[in-house]
Parts: sequence; C-alpha cells; structure tokens
Amino acid sequence: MRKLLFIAFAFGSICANSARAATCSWASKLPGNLLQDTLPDQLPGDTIPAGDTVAQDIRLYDEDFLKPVAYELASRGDSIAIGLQQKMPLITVPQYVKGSAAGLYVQENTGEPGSWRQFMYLRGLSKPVLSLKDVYEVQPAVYVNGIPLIQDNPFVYNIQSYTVNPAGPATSLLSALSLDNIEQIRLVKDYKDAALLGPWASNGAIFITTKTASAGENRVSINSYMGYVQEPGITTINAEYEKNFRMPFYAKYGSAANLVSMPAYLSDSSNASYYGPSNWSDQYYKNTPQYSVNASLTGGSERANFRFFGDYTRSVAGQDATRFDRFTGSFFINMMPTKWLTLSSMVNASVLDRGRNRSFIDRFAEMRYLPNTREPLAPNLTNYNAFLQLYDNTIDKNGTTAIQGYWNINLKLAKDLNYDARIAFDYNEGRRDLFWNSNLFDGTNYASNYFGFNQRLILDNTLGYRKAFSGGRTLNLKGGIRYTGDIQRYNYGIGYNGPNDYIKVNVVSGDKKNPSKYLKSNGFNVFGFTDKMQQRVMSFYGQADFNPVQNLDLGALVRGDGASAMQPDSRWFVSSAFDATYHLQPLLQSGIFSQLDLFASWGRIGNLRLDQNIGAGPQYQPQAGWADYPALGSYNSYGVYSRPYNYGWVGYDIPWAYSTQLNAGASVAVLKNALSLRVEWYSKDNKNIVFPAAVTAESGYRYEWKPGMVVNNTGVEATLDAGIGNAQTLAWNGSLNLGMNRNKLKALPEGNTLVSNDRLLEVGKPVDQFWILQNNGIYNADAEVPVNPQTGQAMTYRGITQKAGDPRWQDVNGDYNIDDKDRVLTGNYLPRISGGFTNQLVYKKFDLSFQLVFALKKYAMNQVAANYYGFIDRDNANTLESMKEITYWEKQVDPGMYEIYNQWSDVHPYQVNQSIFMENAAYLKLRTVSLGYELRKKQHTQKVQRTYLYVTGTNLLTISPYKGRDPELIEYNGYDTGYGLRLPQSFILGVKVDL
Amino acid sequence: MTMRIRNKIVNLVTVLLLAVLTGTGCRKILNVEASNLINEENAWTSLNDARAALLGTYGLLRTALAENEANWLYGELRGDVYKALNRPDLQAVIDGKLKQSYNLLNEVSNWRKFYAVINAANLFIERSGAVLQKDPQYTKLNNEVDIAQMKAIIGITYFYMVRIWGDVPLVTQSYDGTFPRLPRSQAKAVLKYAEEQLKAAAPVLPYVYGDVLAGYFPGKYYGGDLSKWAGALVTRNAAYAYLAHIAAWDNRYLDASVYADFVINNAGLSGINASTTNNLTRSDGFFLNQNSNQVFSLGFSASDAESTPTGHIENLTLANPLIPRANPLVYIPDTRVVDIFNESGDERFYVDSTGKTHSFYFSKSASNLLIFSKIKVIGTGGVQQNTAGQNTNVITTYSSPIVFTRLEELKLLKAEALAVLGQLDDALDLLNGLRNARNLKLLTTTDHLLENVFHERQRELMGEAWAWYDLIRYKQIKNDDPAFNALRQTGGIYWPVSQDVIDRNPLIAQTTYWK
Repeated sequence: MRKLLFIAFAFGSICANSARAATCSWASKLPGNLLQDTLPDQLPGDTIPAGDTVAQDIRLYDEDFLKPVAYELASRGDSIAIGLQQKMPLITVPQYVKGSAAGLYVQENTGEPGSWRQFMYLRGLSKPVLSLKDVYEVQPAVYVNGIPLIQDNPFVYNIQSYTVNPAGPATSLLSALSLDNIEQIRLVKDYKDAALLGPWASNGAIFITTKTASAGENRVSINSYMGYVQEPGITTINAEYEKNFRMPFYAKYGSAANLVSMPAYLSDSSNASYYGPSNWSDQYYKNTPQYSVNASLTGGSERANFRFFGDYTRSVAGQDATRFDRFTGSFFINMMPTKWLTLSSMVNASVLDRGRNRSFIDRFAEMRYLPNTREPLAPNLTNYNAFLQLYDNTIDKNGTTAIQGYWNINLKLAKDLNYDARIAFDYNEGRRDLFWNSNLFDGTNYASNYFGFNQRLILDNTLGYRKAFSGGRTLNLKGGIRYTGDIQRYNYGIGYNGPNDYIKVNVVSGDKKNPSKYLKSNGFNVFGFTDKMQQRVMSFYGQADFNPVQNLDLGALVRGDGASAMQPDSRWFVSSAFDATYHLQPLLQSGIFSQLDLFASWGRIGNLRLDQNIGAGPQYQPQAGWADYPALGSYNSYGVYSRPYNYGWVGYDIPWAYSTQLNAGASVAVLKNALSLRVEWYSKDNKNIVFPAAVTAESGYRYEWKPGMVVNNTGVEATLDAGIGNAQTLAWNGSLNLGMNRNKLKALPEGNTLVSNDRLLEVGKPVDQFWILQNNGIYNADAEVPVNPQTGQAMTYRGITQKAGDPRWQDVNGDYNIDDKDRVLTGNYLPRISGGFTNQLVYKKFDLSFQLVFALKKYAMNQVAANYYGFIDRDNANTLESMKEITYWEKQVDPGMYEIYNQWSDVHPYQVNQSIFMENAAYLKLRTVSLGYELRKKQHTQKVQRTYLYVTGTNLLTISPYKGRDPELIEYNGYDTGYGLRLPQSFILGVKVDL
Repeated sequence: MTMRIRNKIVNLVTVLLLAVLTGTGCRKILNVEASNLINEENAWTSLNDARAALLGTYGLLRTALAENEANWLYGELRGDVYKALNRPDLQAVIDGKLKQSYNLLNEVSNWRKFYAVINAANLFIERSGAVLQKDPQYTKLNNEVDIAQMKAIIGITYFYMVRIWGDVPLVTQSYDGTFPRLPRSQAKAVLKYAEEQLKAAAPVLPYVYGDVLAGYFPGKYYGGDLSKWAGALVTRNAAYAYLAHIAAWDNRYLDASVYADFVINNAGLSGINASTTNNLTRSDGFFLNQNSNQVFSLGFSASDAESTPTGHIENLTLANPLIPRANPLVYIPDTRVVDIFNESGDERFYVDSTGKTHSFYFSKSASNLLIFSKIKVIGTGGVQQNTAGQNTNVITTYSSPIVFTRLEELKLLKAEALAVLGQLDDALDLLNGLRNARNLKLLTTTDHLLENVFHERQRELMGEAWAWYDLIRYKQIKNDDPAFNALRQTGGIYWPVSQDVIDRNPLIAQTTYWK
C-alpha cells in the first residue's frame, strides 16, 4: 500500500514538471431535468441558485478540459430533484431520494432516527434475500464526489445469536451527509455509466456531488428549521380488552384447565395495573422538538478558493425517546498554482450520536438471552414510568464518526491530454458502550463495549485524451488505474453479572507482571469477539467515446477488475460496456420537439463479495457448529476449528458473479422543454450468483456454495416532467416518476427448486414471493374434514389429523396431508410498480409543493395479526419474536378479522404462512407538503441576497388497503413483525438566508 | 520548445512504466488472507492445527448432543415420568408423538450434526498425517493416539445414532467436497462398525492424558496436564465403557459384562471413582466442569467461557428459586416421584413417616412445584450470587457437561448383564453396593433382580439421559410386552428421520412406524 501511495504521488510530481495548464470544473448541469433546471430561474422557492453553486469564472478552460471519473458521472444518469427534500427534516440518503426517481424504491423499515434499517432497491432485487445479511448485497452503492462510501459489513452477524440489528451503534452511515451541502444527486442505472464505476455499482449507484469551493466574493448561506414531531393517534388497550378478545376462543374450544392456565395478568381482573387505564402511550409517544441549523461560507479568488460548511441537526421520532444528533463540518479547497495544475481537496467529517429504542427485542438480542417471562409490561402509565426509571442507571451510548476526503491533482500534459491523480479515503468508526443494570434483567447486569471501523482507501489515476476532427466530430479516450483497499474490523466485548450496578464498565487488570490476572475482567463474566475483513480491488479500464456522424454518439468501455475476495484462479474479471445515442431532433426540423433522443446500451459488470469465505475455497472456521452460539469456538478452553458445516461447503472453481444489462429508451422534450418524457426499458441478468445449494445431511453440511444462480430483473421506467405557466400569474411544475419492475429466477445452481430459511425458490418464479398455505375457511365439525376414500384416513396436517376448529387448508397435491407440498408461491414483497409525484405551484413569491409516493402491486405477511390471534402459541413460545413490547397494548389488529380457530390444536391454526395473513400492502402516501415565501433582495438591506421562509409537514397521509400499522413498516422479507417505530408526522418552520 | 516536448514524452513513458509496474504488483496486492478462517493451504501444518481439528471434532459432538437439549430429548424425556409445562413440543416428546409439526422436533430428528462429527473425524484420520511431515513437534505416537480418539469418536457417534434412529447410513470416509448419496444401513451392521472402530482404538488410547509419569504416552498432552484433560477426551476406559453399552444394546450380554469388567477393574488407572450422593448433587461436585469421574464427558466449563444457557438438563428442569424462572419446562409430578423413590432412607429422595421430605435430588420451587435439581451447575458452579447480591443466580448459563457414564452406571450395567447371564448373586452384590452408598437397606433376595436393577438405574441415573434407552433394553430382555415389541418391530422406539434429510437424499426411507 505504501508503494502505491508513492506511485500516486510520483505520478503527480513527474507529470507536473512539464505539464501545461489545466483546470478544474465542477458539476456542470446538463439540460435534461426540467424540475432541476428550470426552477431556479423561474421559481423563488426551490433551490438556492447562484450564490451557493459554482461560479462561472473558474471554468476558464472548461471547453477542452477532460474531467476525472469522479466528476464525469456527476453530469450523467438521472438527476434527482432535491429542492423539496431540502425543506424537509431528513437525515439519510435513502430519505433524500425516496420517491424521487424512476426505478428506485426506498423502504424505511423503521422511523427510528438514524437507524440503518432503511433499504434501497434500484431496479429490483439482484438476488434472493433470505436473511438480513443478504440485504447488504442488494443495495446500490452511494458515491460522494466519486468516492464509493464504505458501508458496514454484515460479518458481525457471524458471532451474533440474533440478527435483529448488527452489534455496535447500528447507525446508518448514510446519515452523515447534510442535504444542504449536496449540490446534486444522480441515479446511475444505465450500465454505460455504471461500468465506469466498476463492480461497486453493479446494483446501480446513487451519485452525490457536494457543493464545493468556488471563486467570488465571500458568500454565506444559512439554513435552519425547527419543528415538532407529532404524537400519532392510536388506540390503546388494556387487559380487559385483551381478555374480551380471548374469551371467545376459550368459550368455543378451551377446556377448564385451559381457562385456569390463562396468564395471571388477564385472569385477575382486580389487578389495576393491567385492568386500569391504558395510558402508557402518554410517555411512549410524545410531541418532540427537532431542529437543524447549518451555514456555509464560500469564497476566494480564481486561483485559490474555499468552502466551509457546518451543520448541526437533531432528528427525533417522538417515540420511546429516540433521537439522532449530527454534527458535520466540511471543508473544500481548490488551488490553481499554475495554469496547468489544479489541486483540490475535500474533508467531510461527521459525528453522529444516537439515542436508541428501549425495546425488549433489541435488548435481549444484544444480551443473547431470552428471559422466560410471559407477562408483558403493564399498560398503566405509573407502571410504565416505574419501568422506565430502571433505565436511569444505565448507559447506552451510540457514537459514530465518519470522515471522507480526497486530494486531487489535475494536470494538463498537452492541449488535449489530461492527467488526474487522486487519493481518496472514507473512514468511519462506530462505538457502542452499554450498561444495563440488574433491575432490568432478573438481578443480573450487563455491560458491552463495541468498537468497529470501516476504512477505504482509493488511489486513482486517469489519463484522458481528446481529439477533435472536422465536422464537429470528437474522439474521447480515457484510461485509468484504480486501487481500492478496504479494511473492516471490530472489537466487541460483552460481560454479564458485574460486581454491582455502580461499576458500569468492564474493567480489566493491566498488571502485566501478574499473567494470571492480566486483562482478566474484575467481576464480569466476559466474552470477547474480534474480527477483521480485508478486501482489495485493482481495476484497469479504457473508455472511448466517438461520434462518427453528427447526431450519433457511440461509446465503448473495457475494464479488468481483480479482487482479493475471489478465488486465486479467477481473481480477474474482464467486462465491457457499449452504448449509442441518436439525436433525432436536429433531423426533424420541427419546432415542437426540443429534444428527441434514442439511446441504448449493453454492459457487463462483475459483482463484488462482502466476505472472504468464497475466495478462500475449502476452509476451516473457528467454531463448533452450534447455530445459536456461533461464538462458541473452544473445547476444554482450547480454540478449535472445523469445516464450516453450518455455513456450507465452499469448493474450488467458483468464478466471479456478474450482471449484464440491456438498456434502451427514448427521451423526448416538447414546447421548449416545457414538457419532457423519458422512457427506459431494461433487462438485467445477475448471473453466476454463488448460493447455498442443498446437500445430503449425511455429509454433515447444511449447504454447498455453488455458482450458477441467475436472476433477471426487467422493467420499464418513465419520468414525465412539466413546467407550465408563469410565476407572476400561476406556474405549475410537476414531475412524475414511475418504475415497473419484475424479477424472475432463471436458474439455480442445481435443480429447479431450493428451500432455504422457510422460503421456496423456484425457477421461473419471482424471488420475492411468499410460500404459503391457502386457507379456505374452517372445519366447523369433525365430520367436515375430508376423508381419503382410499385409506379412510381424514385429512391431516403434517400427520396430525385435522379436527373441528382447524383451518380448512387447500390440499394442493391431493394426498390428504397438508404439508410443504401444499404451500404455493404467491404475492411479492417488492412493489411491481413504484414511484413518486412531485408538484410545485408558484404564485408570485409564494410556492406550494407536495410530494406523493406510491408503491403498487406489493404484498405483506401480517405477522403482527398472526401473533396476536395465535396467542396460545405465542404465550408458549420462548422466542425473540414472541416477546411482548409495551406496544402490545396498542390496538393494531381488529377482533373479528379472522375465523376463530382452535388455538390449542396442534396444527398451529394461526401460523403466519397462510393466505389469510397475506395482505395487499400497496400504498399512496402524501409524504410532504411545503409552503414557502420568498423575500426578494429589494426587501432587504444590501447585505442579504435572499431570504426564504417555509413551513413543511411530513408523513401526512397514507392510503392503503393494508390493515397493519403502515405498509412501509415491514421487514426486509415482507413480514410485518411490528418491530419498527412509526414514521413520524412532523411540522417544521424553516428559513434559508443567503448573504 | 522541442525540449519541452521531449520532456513530456519522457515523462509519459515513465507514467506508463509505472502503470505497468503497478500491474505486475497486483498478484501480490490481491493476495489477502482471511483472518477469520483457515484455508486449505494453512491447515494441517502445525501441532496447533492438529489440536484445533481434534478438539473441533469433540466440539461438534458436544453440539450434536447439546443443541436443543437433544441428548435429553432422545434419552430422558420420552416415557411416563415427566410432564411439560407450557411447552407442547416437549410434551410431544414425552408422549412419543415425535412427528408433530414443531420446529424443535424437526430440528432434533435431523441427524446432520452427528454426520458433521463423522465427517470431521474421518477428515482428521485422513489428513492429520500431513502435520507429521510439517511439524517435528508432532510425534508419531501423538498422531496415533489422536487418530485412535477419532476412531473412537466415530464409534461413539454411530452408537448414539443407532440408539436414536436405528438404521442409519454408514459413512466411512470424509468424501471431502463430494456428496455421495447413501441409503440407510442395518442398525446391526452400523453397530458392528462402531464396535470395530472402538476396538481398534482402545489399545492405542491411554488411560489418562497429560500425565508426565504415565507408563504409556507420558508427558503433557498439547500443553495440558493431567487435570486439564481429565474427563475431556476418550480414554481406553471410556472406549470400553461404550463397547460395553454397544454389546448390551446388541443383546450380547456376555460381551457387555466383559467390557464393563474391564472398566471397573481399571477405573483407578483413569482416576474413576464412585460418588457420594452429596458429591453427585452438589453444584460444585461431580457435574462441575470436567473431571476424571465422568469417564468421558463433553464439557461446558464456565471458567473457559464455554458455559451456555441452553444445552443442559438444567434448562429443562430448573426454576425459581434456583434460577429466575417461575416454572420449569419439564417436571416430575409429586406422585411419580413418590412412586419411584419408594424406599425409606434413600438419600436421593424419601418421605419419612412424619411426611417430611428428605432429598438431594429435588427441591421445592417458588410455586411449590417439586423441581428436579439433581444437576444444577449454574454459572461457575457452587453458590452463585447475582449482581444484586442475592444468592440465586447469575445470568443463567450452565457448566454441567454431557456425561455418558460413571462408575455407578457401569456397575449397574454389569449387574444387569450378570442378571441376564444368570449370575444372580454377583449381580445382587453389585446392586447392594450401590444401595449401600445411597443409604438403602441391602436386598437379601434375588427375586425380581432385573426389575430391581432397572429400578435402581431409573433412580440413580435420573437426568443423565438413560431412561428411554434403559426401558428399551429392559423390554428387550423381558420380551413380554407385545405392544412394545410391535413398536420395536416397526421402529417406533426410534426417532423419525426429519423430512429435510429425506428431501435431500431420496435413498433415505422413513422409518416404518413414522411413515
């Protein structure tokens, strides 16, 4: 690595000696997105133009300047209008882009501020997601000024017994960027662009360009908002309600013994804690303030300029006292010491701090221990407050520090030859210090400390050449070498049963002279974990753009990527991409069309791995095969290793997985760009996906990792932009985006079906379907149960004879036994259609904007209802999922929604995987409404350029047939477990001032 | 001007050269070794690799028996003694309804984890020779002893499997990286294979490990001394103990008696001693960690950070005030307890004439339920205090090991064998020896001797995963229960084979009874 650093510098210094002037250019906006481009001039309310963006003057040599990769993409791909989002109290990148671009579906699984549980799906699902770990692999990459941000690695789950959240702060690393510091967000979907970014962008990319330094008189911008998150309107219930709900089941099926064994909190109606008022919600849900203030200072000369940006933001959910604080500082410098040399740099640092929820599920998952209690907390406020008081003497600190930056040297070697060298880094570290006192858990306290970091270093060298021919034809050639080195590591120690509740940290003895006590804990029963992941990628690429005739642009790219995470025999993957665009408008000679382009591209990109397991081939792992205690890796105190029987066998000859994408479309604009439409079709194949295939149990292995899975995503995307009218009378701007996506499993490593994690994958079917029994009602009497005429046996469920009170499940294969063979694939949890509709009405100095987001043809399994109805199974189960939170006392399920089945039947009548619990989870949401007023220059003193005031409401209205809380608060796998906090409704008042 | 151009060209060439250099360095740059796994290249190179792989196999066997408390689900619960509380899946095990649709039953009826042990042991036998070549510290004798242990583990694992499933596929090599499909072999053939493995291993195995003074295989073993390895590894005595049980299971009681005799006679060489009732039931007694009295146990020592909250009989049977849980998952109804412990003066449990109970085996729970607390090694054993200073518990992890046998068990097995073989007086002597140790009156008659031996086994070995297997052997000897014979004929005494197993290998047929 040191050698490479040297080389990167050497590059610069050698070339610098002789090179002539070059300069730098920053994100230039191309025409294409009307909302973005037309608004600043016409409309007062949207973005803040001029002052904060690039000044024209530094683009002195823009014409013949060849940009480095990092910036080139900033002007390609789909642009996302972010004007409205800048007036919303948002903190993460997924929130910034939600509903704003065709083909991108964002789902916030929880309203907990700063939580990592917000997922983005760009052009569907690139592989089946069977566990939370897999979600990491289907996320698009997020780039900031050309740096692919390093994300947490799911390897920490390897030592966790429960995968609710990763150990550590579990803060979204995408919450480190303030939207007010972002100039532009582009969506990279097309492989002609993605191929330039390489394997990181195989799921597409969100390409963010920050605002940056620019020359001119010192300019100051200040943005601030303040507002409240509102309590939701909910109905609380108490034990009496609960008992009334349960009694019909007892009346119909329960024996006297069943009634006696009813939980005490329900049977004892004199217990005021449970039977009294259910007012816990007064404490749990609270109107809570949130606010943000940030300021930037930009200025300097043409030869040296700078930008400083500072931000403080607090975000809250108004639930369970959760909060998120962010402090950001960014600094940008551009220097042009000579005309052929430009130096630029960025440092962007954030400190994130999170106050997390106090749910049982998170606590017990962290403690790796389930208590054996069946009683939920009492719904009475007094009791709930008493419970919360137990938290007084606890610690739960979740801090994350993130810093990204780069140094860039751009040299103009010759008139048309340009060299760019860059060192970029992204480093973040998370800490979690935890202490739960003994009152919270059966007299035993718990302390844990986590420290983890992710580090990425990028060395980038680009050489660009441009040759102009007669007739306006040009040839652009570019070649580059890029090295990316990632290191991810954590140290994590957990300790039980410390000496008392006053010693809250797990202290170890530092006396090296006493080896028997050295580093041994004083009192806690300690378990320590540490892991490290390293990956290096070396890339070479060459790209050519040429327009052989006028109106036709052709492009080709070839790249080779070598990744350390691949097997030694197949380290390198060579791929290519080709594209063509035909501009029809000049040929038409028609005044109506201001743009008419046809474009198509085909590309192939290798897919990176997030682990080192596949690359290692046959291997041994330091564990002893116990799924619940993956960290139990010793016998008789000695460390052991064994073949990865649980993880699965990894053999040789596993090649790179890759994806190919064919993309074609048209872009039309009419009436001087007042109306524009972009339509795209794509078909994307993810091939050679390495996936666990079933092997014989007699081998000892659960799976064998085999390449060969193919998943196809096909879709159509449309974006319609319109800008009509004049701000002086009334202007309307609208942007509608719509993405249709369908995925299909085209091949498995072996055979046609695969069952894993209670999901069935079948070739020819989508990978996001549910696998469920079809419910046709109820057997009211034993006589109604069908009898097999051949054997005289009544219908069975997995061998258990069905009786009155059992569900009437469809016997699909007609063998008079209901089992997995009768489960059918149906529904889908990713929406087949999703999009958003942004509108802006402008009248003089007022503007009113609102955003609608929608997801259609989407289904969810209402597990909350299944758990609520199946209370006997739930009461008896000792699992994390059966835990009852305080929100158990919130009415989420209507009585009378389902048949009254016999709870005590061994067939588990309320198991979640049946058709009655699959619901249509399509939705249309009024995500935000914002009203703004602009005070123009003349109304101010000389200093102030512009002042803009606005009021914004978010998460205002949801229309959905879904019967649960919110069709978005559904887990990554389509099951609504009730885990997430609600997406809070909030109102803010904000101001933006340019000086 | 020309000068400048030339300079430029020179520099360009330099740039390109550097680019090429960077390229050639790639191979090295891209070789990143994973720190959280061991690849084939780095495995089997040193003494530590041999130790890690050897003990890994033991660890896998521990997992196979402990996960989901499988050892007790297989051997202890089924029958008419226990009752489950709020756990219909455990009740299904007790009632022998093993094919009901509970996840637990599906998990436990899958034999994959046992075959992981077989695979790891076979792999060790095939590969550990490589360490001999690479690490001079690893001696040939050490390797032979290690391989003998692995052979013994294979025998032991197959014995467990035959007891649980009857006919099982016989896998005799690792097939590393290939996955042949094998049908189920006759239980008898598998038992024979298990016996062969153990018999081949026994003469190579030492009586103890890590003893610097031992006549055979002296010196520390992998850096551990005598006390470190006590109970943790298969010794010659352990091998014979399993052989005795294989023979008994196979109804060859003469062999069983000979094998058992071997252990009883040589117990001292492995430090195997009898236990008093007090020692047996103390939380820092027989069941604490691993010790030589356990003959061979799969340990969970808390001091080695290996204790776990599940995987122990305690997780099934304990409750308040021993651990913070209102009710145990399973319990023995008072009437059954009185039924089983029906003799006055029994240290384990008896009710005296005033109605007062005396017991080392049971205690009263907070909810007045009689809880079976013979084994209660909570945390590091001994008296445990929680953070709040209460004498109840720490966060409930247990460090009691999975024990197969002990001296009392072997003596009872020998008594059983002698009773079958007709040497009734010798059998009675053995039985009386134990009765004496438990403060019971000596029997004077050999009437109902077999019944008395099995009754004693029931009381003495309660909670040690013998009950169901004892019942099977008892019925086999008596051969007077047509219903049970039918159950045996159709394989109902065994566990069904998980559907997962059958789906993955179509050659596996479900046990007749469970079809």
